[in-house]
Amino acid sequence: MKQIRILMAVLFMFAFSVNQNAFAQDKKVEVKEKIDKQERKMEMEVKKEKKEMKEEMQDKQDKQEEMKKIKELHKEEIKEIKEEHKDKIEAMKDHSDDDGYMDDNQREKEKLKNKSNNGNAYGKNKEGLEGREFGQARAAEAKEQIKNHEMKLKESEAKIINSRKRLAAAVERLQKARETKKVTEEEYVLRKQKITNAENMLKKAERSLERNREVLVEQKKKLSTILTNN
Amino acid sequence: MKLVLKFFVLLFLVGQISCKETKKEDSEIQADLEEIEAVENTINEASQELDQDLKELQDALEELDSI
Repeated sequence: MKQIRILMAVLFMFAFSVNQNAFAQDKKVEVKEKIDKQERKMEMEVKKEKKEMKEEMQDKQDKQEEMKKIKELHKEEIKEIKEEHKDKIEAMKDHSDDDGYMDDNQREKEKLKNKSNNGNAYGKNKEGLEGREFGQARAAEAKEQIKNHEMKLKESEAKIINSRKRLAAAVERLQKARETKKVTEEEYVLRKQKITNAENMLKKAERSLERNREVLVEQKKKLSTILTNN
Repeated sequence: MKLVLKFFVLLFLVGQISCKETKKEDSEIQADLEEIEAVENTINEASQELDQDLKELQDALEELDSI
């Protein structure tokens, strides 16, 4: 009886251990499967993320292309407006050449007209451009005007240098004429007076040129501050 | 009903804020435009003065050359 009991106990122990081993093996398999599943999930997620990233990149590229197109369109619009303005300025110049310079009253009237044409709609303006864009276009125009003025100042400087030479030549001619007695004393005094008059004019023009340079520097600074504020 | 009222009040507030911002932006732009105009005007005035002086100088020199 004792032996049977021992045998039963041994059998039970054996069965239990075998069962445990099997259970452990099952667990291992399960863990492996879980790991595999997780790996698969991870791979799927990585693939999904990659796809999403690709899609996002494509969207970004599309948006950039759209932005470029819009910018190009805006540039074209600004160019057109500039050309229109140029035409208007040329027409104004022609008008001013014909009738002399405009009176202050006329200028005010024109300003009022322009303002009335622009309207008072907030945010929207002015020949197809919206507020900030219009401001930028105007700033670009002002910049161009400053450049033109710079060129004009250079030309004026050349003119002044040329005038100085002409004046020196006139003084020399007068001196020679006086030495060779080709001119009477009265004529000499008259010419001398004209020369001094021309010298005064030259000095005035030089001062004006200098003032223009100062104004140009000041206005350039002002414009750059306006542009940086924008 | 309350929810609808709340929605409309919120909508009104958002509209007000948006409008104020737009007005502010527009006034800033207007100020910039005025400054740009002032810049252009000062340059034009200086340029006209210079033109006048140069013209007078040229006239005086031509008078000298003619003698």
